[in-house]
Amino acid sequence: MATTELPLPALPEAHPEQSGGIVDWLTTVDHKKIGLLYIFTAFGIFLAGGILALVVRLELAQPGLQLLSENTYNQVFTMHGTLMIFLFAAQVTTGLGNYLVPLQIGAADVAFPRANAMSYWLYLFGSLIVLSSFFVSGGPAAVAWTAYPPLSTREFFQGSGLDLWIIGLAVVGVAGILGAVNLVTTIFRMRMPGMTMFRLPLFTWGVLVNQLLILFAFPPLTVVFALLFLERNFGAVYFDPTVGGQPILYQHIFWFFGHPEVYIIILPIFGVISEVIPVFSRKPLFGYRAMVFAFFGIAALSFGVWAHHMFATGLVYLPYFSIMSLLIAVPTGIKVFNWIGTMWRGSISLSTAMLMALGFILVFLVGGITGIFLASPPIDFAVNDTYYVVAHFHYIMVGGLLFGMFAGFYFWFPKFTGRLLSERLGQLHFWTFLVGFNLTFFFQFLVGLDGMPRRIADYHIQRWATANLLSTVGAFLTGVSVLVFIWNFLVSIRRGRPAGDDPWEGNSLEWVTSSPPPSHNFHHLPDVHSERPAYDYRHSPAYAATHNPERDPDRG
Amino acid sequence: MTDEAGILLRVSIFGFVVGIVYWFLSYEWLGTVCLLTLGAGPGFAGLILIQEQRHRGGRGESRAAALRRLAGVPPPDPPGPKDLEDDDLGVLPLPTIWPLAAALGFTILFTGLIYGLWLVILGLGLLGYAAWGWLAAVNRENRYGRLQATTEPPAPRSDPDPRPDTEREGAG
Repeated sequence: MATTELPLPALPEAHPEQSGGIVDWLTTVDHKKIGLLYIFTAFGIFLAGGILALVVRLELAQPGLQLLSENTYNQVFTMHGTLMIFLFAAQVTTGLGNYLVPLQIGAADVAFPRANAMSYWLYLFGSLIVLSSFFVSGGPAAVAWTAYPPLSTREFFQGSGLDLWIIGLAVVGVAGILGAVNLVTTIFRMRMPGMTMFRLPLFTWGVLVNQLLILFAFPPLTVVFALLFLERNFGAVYFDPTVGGQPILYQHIFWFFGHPEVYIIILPIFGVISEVIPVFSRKPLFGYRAMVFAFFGIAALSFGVWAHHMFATGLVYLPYFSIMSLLIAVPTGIKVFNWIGTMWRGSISLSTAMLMALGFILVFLVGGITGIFLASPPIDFAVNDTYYVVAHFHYIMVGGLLFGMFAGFYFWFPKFTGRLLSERLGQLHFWTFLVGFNLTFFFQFLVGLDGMPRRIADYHIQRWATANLLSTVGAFLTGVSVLVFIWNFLVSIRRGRPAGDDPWEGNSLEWVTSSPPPSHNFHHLPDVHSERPAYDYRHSPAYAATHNPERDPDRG
Repeated sequence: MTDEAGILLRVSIFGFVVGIVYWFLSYEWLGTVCLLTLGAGPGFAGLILIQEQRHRGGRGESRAAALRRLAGVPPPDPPGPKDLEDDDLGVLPLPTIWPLAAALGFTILFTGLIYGLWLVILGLGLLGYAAWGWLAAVNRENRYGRLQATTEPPAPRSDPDPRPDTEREGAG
């Protein structure tokens, strides 16, 4: 197989590869470092959001107000949702995409490296603005992550905490749009010769569709926040019904962003799972093209279902949104079917990454199936704003995202660092996480069906107490599992087993280069003849000649 | 038509069709506008890609390629979006502080909308200064080519010799 030697930069001493100090990180335009910055920042925010979740669960562990006032409780769950949805979930996958997409398509960097750096800094500063609202008079926003007016108008929330929330998220939104332009251009324009669209790795497909969704969903979000800000601070009238505004207008625009946001978060994770399962099943992915079209099916349909979040308003056309919502189950089902088809009669090895991928399928199925019920208006009316919705949402978001994210971390950590994460600690992490997660959220289905409303600081019905206590225990067990992961990371990054360039015998191009990759990504690139270029390369005479000359078929 | 343009145009068609269907089912204007915008955005991008391909001299899919595609035969070895060139694979921009400074200026500017005009002015100043520095850095790199590749990329080889350069015939 042919390989192509690549030129080296002229001034290696000026290259970011050579140093690792704080200035280097502040000035870097290397997509890999920016990707890691995204991941570390998002993970830090995840830890902060997780602590807030534990505070919520402590408060709800038994009836009565124990720790928090009602207003503080509102602030805590609002900031928990904000940190997790806007500042962690949508960003950690951008970080993975930043690091991996150029490697997977055989490019040296993203299309606009400096703008890429600016995207990250905007994300960081926007996040800091949101977090700074903890320290202003009146405290942070207490209007839930949806910030519906009139609750979010000046009449009901006077403090500047909500203004900081709006401005911070608007800045993060601009960062997202800038990043999306960058990654879409990179994938469309910087693929190496032979890397056609239908040879792209599934993770890159997931990132492409995810970034296209961002490109079309974030502008409405930025617009609606701008309108809300103008209404709160400059006397404009859009949403306040007492002076002629329409609160339903906000809901329409918000959810036109809000529902695609779910898929913005989850599509790259689908890509991660589609990378992990074939490698650890020792089989090519079952139904590559069907998986690609399923990505687009999900993405397109996600823009047509926004008002299923507004069924209970009575102001939307129910059959249309119900049917469209149900239809999303079809491409999603194709994906699950194809993952199972990939594993079928494969030579499966249950590494931690693979276990996490299997955990993802399990919890995502539960979340997906319970979502199908919610697409039916009569059921939605019955369980709307109960803990059933909370449980469904967390099975998709927490279960789906975190299991997939951890699968990706265990899978690509060797590429990031050159070392393997400990499998022993990884298995402990997986099992505590699986048990803790299900303990936390499964019982919420039951109390939700029994009518326990969400977003309340207290409840007085004793039969909900046991389920809530179990849920709290599960939340802390989940917290322990995350600590195990952090411990694994800290130990492995110093003393982990050297991984080599391709510890898993992966399929995509990042496994061809060194671990960690050089700053210009590749010293050589194999030709691309299929969607598994690294696999093809490993089975080529060129590879045998380079890695094991004694077995070189050309030398007999 | 390239795959990229095809993808965008399909999304565009979806947006227009669903937007029209939605209007006649609901007579709700905001959702209809959103869906039609979803149709217009990717459609516009797809048309630009097609226009760009024509501008570069591409003639779209050949009849033979279309027949191969319809028969389910993968293309033999299609080229990527562009040839392997120094500019794509050998040049990386230098580290720079200006993206950070520009982001900081942008953020201060927006925060000024809450806390006062002085912050807006400060943010605008920093943003302008960062933009100036950014452009100057790009201009400097373009002029002096500090990270231009010095080594010409060798032509693709079908069977690389595993031995070091010094051991090859004719080396040195």
